[in-house]
Amino acid sequence: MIKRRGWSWFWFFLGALYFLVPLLGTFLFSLRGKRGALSFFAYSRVFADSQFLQTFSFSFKMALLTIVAGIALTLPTMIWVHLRLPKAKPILEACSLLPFVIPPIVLVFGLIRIYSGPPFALASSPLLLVAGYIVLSFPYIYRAIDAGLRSMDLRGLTEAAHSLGAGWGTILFRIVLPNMRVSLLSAVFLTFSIVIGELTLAVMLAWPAFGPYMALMGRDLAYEPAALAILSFLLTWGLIGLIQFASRGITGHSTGLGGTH
Amino acid sequence: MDSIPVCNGKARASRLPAFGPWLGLLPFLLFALAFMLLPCGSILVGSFQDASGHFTFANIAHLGRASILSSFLVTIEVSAVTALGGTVLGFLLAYAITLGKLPKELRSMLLTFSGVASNFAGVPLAFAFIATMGRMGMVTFVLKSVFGINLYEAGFNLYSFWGLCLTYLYFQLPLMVLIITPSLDGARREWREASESLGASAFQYWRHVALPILMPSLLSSMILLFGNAFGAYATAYALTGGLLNLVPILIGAQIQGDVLHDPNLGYALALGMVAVMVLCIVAYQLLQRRSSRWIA
Amino acid sequence: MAFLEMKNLVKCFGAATAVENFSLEIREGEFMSFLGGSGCGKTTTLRMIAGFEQPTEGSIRIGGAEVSNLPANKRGVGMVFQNYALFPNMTVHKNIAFGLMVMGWKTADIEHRVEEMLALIHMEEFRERYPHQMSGGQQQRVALARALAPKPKILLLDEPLSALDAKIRTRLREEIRAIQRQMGITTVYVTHDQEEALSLSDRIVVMRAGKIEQVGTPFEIYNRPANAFVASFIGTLNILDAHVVDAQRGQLLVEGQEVMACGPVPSGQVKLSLRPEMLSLGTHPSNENQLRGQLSNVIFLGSIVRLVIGTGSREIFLDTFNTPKLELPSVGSPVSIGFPREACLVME
Repeated sequence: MIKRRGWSWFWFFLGALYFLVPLLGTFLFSLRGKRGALSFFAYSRVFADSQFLQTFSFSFKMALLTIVAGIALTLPTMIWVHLRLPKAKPILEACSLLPFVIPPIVLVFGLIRIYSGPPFALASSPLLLVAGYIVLSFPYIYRAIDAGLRSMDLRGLTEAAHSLGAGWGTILFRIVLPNMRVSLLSAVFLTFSIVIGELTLAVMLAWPAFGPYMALMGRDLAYEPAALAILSFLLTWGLIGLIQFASRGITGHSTGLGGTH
Repeated sequence: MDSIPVCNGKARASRLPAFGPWLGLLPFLLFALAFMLLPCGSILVGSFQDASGHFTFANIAHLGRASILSSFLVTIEVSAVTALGGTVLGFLLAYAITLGKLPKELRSMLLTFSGVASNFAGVPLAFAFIATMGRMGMVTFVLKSVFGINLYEAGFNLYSFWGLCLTYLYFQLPLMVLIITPSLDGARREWREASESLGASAFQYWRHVALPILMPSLLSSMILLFGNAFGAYATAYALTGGLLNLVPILIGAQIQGDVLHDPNLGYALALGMVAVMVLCIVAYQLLQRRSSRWIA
Repeated sequence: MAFLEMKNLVKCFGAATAVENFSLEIREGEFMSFLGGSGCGKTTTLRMIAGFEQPTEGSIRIGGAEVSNLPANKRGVGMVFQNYALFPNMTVHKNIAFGLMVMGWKTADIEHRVEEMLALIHMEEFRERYPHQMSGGQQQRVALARALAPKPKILLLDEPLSALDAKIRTRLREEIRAIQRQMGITTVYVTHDQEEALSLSDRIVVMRAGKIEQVGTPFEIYNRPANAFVASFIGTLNILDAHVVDAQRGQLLVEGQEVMACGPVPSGQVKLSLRPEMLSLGTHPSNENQLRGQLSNVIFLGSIVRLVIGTGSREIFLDTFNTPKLELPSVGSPVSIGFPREACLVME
């Protein structure tokens, strides 16, 4: 028994080492922006760069659009399927697997092929980018909402509300949404963390987004990218932390796995 | 569903034509058609067209070119190595925090961290590894100046195959921890105790009971990890800047300029990728079904 | 001589003491039950015998040999779990053969033994089934066969029936008892269900808070409980406050009425316990004692009918057989409860 626990510690420390060394290394590296002294110089240079703010706010806007449009599209559909059309569930299920089967690079390839010319010349519109982001984040939105719907008796609740005289609007906004707060929040934060630093779609559709900006920095500079890496890690940590904070005490509610790499 | 006259208005409402409920699904179906199916379809169609739009098998045949085959091969190798490494190490880590009797705080710490790390990928991840293990990176520097070990003279190169694997492992490993932990939680203490009371050693327990039970989940997780690495673009792009001829990198280059001198070959490349992913997802689903039957 | 002997067993988890000073001797071939509520230490004791828990203090001997330092896989003890714990990746056949395989039996011997065990549990035709293809009752029978196949010295069962529904529980209970008798194997059975313990066991250990409250045959435990806890834990019991008038003769005062118990009894304030089935309605020469009350309710329980009779501050249960001739007074009418002095259990 003692031997078993010894091995557990060994593997845990090995894992911790592998996880923490790059973070520590990157952090130390990012502090070396000024020759001969440790300083936050690289960070101040990052924040001082007007491009940083522009690209970040662009990606931020795209993330918001994706979240709003993605949920507006998915939530009513899923409620509808749940209540009226359970046999359509496999279709949604399949769509949620699709982004795994079609990697982002393939997706964007197809999108460009279809929408770069008439009859749907969308390639220069941010709509196409947002649509692509909805596809990428659909599995996460789907899973989060599905977990939320399954954790409550939607049919029972709507029937109870109907028999008490509530209309559909009341049901949606006063009963369904409040009960799904946690799942929707985790969908929001996951989508945000996927979109904010996304590279593939942004670069291929030639948008001045945060991902391509970071990639560009990496090409020319040394210490600023390290600072950016630390900042993004903190951002991701904050978002995942928010999800776990929101879903604390709810069992069987797992955070999303993996983003776009 | 026949023509019996109905007077009650409510009852009539439930007798919408059979396709009635499907109308509610229409917005989503249109979206899925436009942005999921059509792009796939267009790539499928494009793979079988020549430059002037005529049907041809030439693109598919060109996938057999040495350069393209080798890029598929190296992508598969990176994915397989990181999937295997992630599976083995992730399993050991997950084992340590579940059955390995480590303190509960460590378990939630590792799970939270894994949630973050599996989402921390792409450009920033590449930066982190460059800052750590690159030519000027902190670890490289410390190893050289303190321990006198020169990583790069010893043959290590972050921008090579093994460097990419090391980097991918950073999101593969935590992903595995997240996937496999529930399965290990499902491995019941009683199985071990039953096997012990029947006289089996720890080795016999793992050999005959635990590993066979966990095998479907392990394999299906490994497939998931494989696909995860196979489709990865951003990390490789930011790390190697296209030095390694991975399929996603090749497709990206093709989109940005006709590097293959044959646009339709690009579609065939993408189709090949989708084919690999479809195989993965089918195998994954089959294995999942099996393991959910065993581990309730 | 005792076959399984436990001496001064103590088990502590951190600061909490799960089992305290547990000493017990079990004879070869005996069916012993550990009975108690949750957290009474019965399962912990069983797991110490199996080798899954290390005793903090004390010794365990099987057949005279000290085993408390042996690992579980060297003890030769068969175990049946509450949740069956069949290996889900193996067929019935493979599950039963597992213990034999790891002991290195020859294939032909394994086959022979597996057939024997399948016949024992009457499940020959389930040989190639997987656990998930069988009902809970079937799974538990296979688990029993699996535990018995390597011919263990002792069979341990940890609440083996509590995950099953009532009907299967009764049937499997009888089957377990029959198999145990047939094989003559020393058995320890942990349960919280008094009916199970009473119907199965040669002897019962009643436990509470890590301590033994009483050890005895089902008859002793039921008819002569050592204390109020055992009395109230086993069966239904009316417990009345009583004042002793004459301790030597066993004369008591209950609800202002005189009752004669078998003397001598402790003096002062005592508890008088009466089993509902020992009471009868009306006067009868063999019943020395009478308590007057008012019938407040009649509960029909199938083969028996339970009368609820109010006697001032208390309600007393009286059980009578449901016979066709049964005539009951109407609810609200005054009745008299009769019982012999032997029915009185007087405890401090």
